[in-house]
Amino acid sequence: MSGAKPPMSAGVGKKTFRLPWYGLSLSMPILVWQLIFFVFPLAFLVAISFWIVRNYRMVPTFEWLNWSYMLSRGFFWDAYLHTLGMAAGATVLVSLVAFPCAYTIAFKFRESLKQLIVLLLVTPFFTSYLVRTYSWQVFLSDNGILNAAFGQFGLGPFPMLNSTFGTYVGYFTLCLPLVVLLQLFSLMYIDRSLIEAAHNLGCGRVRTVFQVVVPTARIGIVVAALFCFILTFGDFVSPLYLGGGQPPTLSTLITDTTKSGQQWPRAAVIATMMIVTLLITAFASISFAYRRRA
Amino acid sequence: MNEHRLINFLLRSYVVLVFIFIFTPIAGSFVFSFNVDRFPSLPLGGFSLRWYEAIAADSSVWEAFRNSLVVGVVVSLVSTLLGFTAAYTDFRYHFFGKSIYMALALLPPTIPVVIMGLAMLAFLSRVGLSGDLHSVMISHIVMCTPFAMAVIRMRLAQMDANIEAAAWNLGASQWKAMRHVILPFAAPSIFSALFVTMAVSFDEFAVAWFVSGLNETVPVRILNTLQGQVSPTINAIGTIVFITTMTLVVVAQLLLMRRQKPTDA
Amino acid sequence: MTQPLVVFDNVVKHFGSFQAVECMNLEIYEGEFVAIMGSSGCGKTTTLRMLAGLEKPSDGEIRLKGERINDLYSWERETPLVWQNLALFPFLNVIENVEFGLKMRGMAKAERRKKALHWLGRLDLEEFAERDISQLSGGQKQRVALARSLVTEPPILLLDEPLSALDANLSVRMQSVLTGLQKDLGITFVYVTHSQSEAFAMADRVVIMSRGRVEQIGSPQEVFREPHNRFVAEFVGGKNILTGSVTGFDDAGLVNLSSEHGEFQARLPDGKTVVPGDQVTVCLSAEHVDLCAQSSRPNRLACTVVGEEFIGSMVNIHLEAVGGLELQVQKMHADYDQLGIRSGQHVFAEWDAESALILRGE
Repeated sequence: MSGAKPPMSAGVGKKTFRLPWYGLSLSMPILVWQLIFFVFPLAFLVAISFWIVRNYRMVPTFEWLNWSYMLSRGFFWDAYLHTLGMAAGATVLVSLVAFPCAYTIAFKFRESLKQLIVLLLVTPFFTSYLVRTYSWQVFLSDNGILNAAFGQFGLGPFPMLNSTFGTYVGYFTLCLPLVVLLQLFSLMYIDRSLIEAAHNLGCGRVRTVFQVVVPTARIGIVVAALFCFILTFGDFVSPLYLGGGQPPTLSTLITDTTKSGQQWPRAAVIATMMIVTLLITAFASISFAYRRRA
Repeated sequence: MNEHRLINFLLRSYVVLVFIFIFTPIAGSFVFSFNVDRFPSLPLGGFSLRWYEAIAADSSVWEAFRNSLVVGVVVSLVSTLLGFTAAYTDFRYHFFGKSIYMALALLPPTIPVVIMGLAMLAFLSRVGLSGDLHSVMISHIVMCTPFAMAVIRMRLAQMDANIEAAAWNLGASQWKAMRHVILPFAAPSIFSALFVTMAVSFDEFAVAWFVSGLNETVPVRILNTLQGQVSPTINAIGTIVFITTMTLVVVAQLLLMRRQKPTDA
Repeated sequence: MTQPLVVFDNVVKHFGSFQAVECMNLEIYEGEFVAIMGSSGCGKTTTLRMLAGLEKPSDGEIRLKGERINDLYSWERETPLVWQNLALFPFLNVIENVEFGLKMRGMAKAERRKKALHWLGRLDLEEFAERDISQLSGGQKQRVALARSLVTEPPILLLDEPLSALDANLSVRMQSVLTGLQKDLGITFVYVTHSQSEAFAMADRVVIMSRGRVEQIGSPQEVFREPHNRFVAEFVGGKNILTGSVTGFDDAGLVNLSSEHGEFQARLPDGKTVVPGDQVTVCLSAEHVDLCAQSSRPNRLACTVVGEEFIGSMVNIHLEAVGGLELQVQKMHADYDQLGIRSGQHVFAEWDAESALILRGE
């Protein structure tokens, strides 16, 4: 008994309040860190959109100068609409291309094969997006692999690099694995009996997909599309290195404005506009995903 | 029934096509890295190690690998630690404003990298922390912590909440229970998180490009090569990075699976 | 008896607006086997968790060996708990699980290994010392959990429905393991269960709880023979409840009652007094009721047999009296056969006035 006596003396006989050091020291570091290095920088970014640049130096102030400058420029709105259109197009196209693939994997493949597929779909995340982009340049250029192959049949050459097509190839490279993966996860958890019940009630195969599978997996499909939109809306690699950089997207505007000049406040205006756009899109799609079925 | 089989065949072929698309650039860069030509085309040129020799002779590449490694190690340690505390807080506590707390811990990957890059550059240079490797580390820790948190949280979800209380009841203080119960249970996911965060950091180019100044990491080196005179050394670097990160991920996965088995019951 | 080991002194526990335990007063003595029972949500597990230091009382005081322990953390008191789901550490093997408490108390490795092996031996587990937890059967895991809690030689062991996951056979075997262990060690067991048979088979005293309140504390015999109130009477089972108003007393001290079913007599429990006109509730054990075709005794009811239920060598006969009153009667199977009564027949149910008990707490 002697070696195993707990410290019974502490706090006996009197009411004590002890600060929860344990919980605080475990929960506070991440909070402090993310406040300082995540929330502050983003807030600061919004703040400097109201600063002005004088003699190549930023001066803290509160002026709508940068906002009125950027929002009255045609090139900004061209870039904005171009970026929005490209990202929206990519979101729809990638979702459409991914769905039959995710559907087939979820409902037609054996369990072991499914696990392998999931593993394969994760692989691209660990290869450099830049390297894959460069690799596509080799495939798509006028003297590249694909045009050489087409040439064997007397076709082409087709201009594929430095075009909207090139940009979309890049967007697909960036998003397709993720979208397939997210759709797959939402489809895998659909109760099989639901589909059997639909067949049983005389719902045809194709109708079952649209009447039962898609609505049931709606949240996953919308979340996948949202991620695709976020990624493509902010991507500057594909438009630049596969799309040729013309017309510029918002991200290329930001990188140009930041890297080549001292016009950070103007870049901050663009970034704030992007954040607002993404927030609106995110709220709209999340509320659509969780909307009650009519 | 024939029609049914045809549809199944078409669907399967479609999946194969999608995977060909996904893996074409990966396989391509691997093949091109061993190709003698500067601009590979059909028919492919001969086998060569010249691009590997080129990067071996390029001190800026060595420097970039060294930088990436230093950043990767620090980032994986700190973000795994932070991710663990966040995951444990979520597992153990209920408190007012927890959803905001969790949002802070999980949101960074949803912010476009260009915006993160600009925000970090502006903020860090304002507080005098930009243009060095530690600015890359700070930014990457912000971006990697959510991944560490997700990996560890999934493991903690498999833990019977009573076993922590059982440890207290058997005389373990909260810190001792952490040391002797929570950490051993979460260990495989902690290793896994270390590798995953290191892989993410090793791959991140945009934010690093914004804040790193003259200290290039490997992906920043690639980006700068892409902007200048294009060179197939990119493929060689890419292949090395790919093999490195895949090794990390596979090791992490193996650790996770090996440790999980006896504790499933 | 000397000073109680554990005292619950007006202990209250609420979670938000939910009152889990209201005003608990309980004394537990050294070497006692106390069972706390009740249906789920009655507050029995919360009571145990407060004693183990896993919940903090909202009000009142819990004392262990005379010292207030409200503010002590679980690891600062010696109140090991055997968990309903056992909560063994899955990443430790059997002996490491058993050693855990000693390790936390800083005991040297060789010494704690020796102690752990001693307890494994005591619970017939030596051969499993190096096994993984996942390789054990349910009963073996149970014994590992016991060894893990007992290895620090605590003055008290708390058990939270430890047998609920076992099948009936194993559960009965474990009951004798537990009672044997408790007698050998001479320490206090506080045992929470929803099972009346477990509690009555093992405990020296039972505490019956309902909706956060203690309904009765006593030995199993006392509780069964003299339930305090209607809830306890119904909880222990095999009881008929009648109500009536007091009309007077006879020479033997029995109380005369009148009810819509007729005139009865009933016994008063010690210490309870009534005056004519009082409404009382009477409890009548099913095994004290006799059945016959013609009745001459004063306490009787004309009934119809509405159902029979055979349980082993016993039979439960369900009766319905005039006015819709339901009664149950318990007889030996053989005796019931001799009476030759069948469902639908009219019979008289009769009993001695001594068997009808006025409930103290109503």
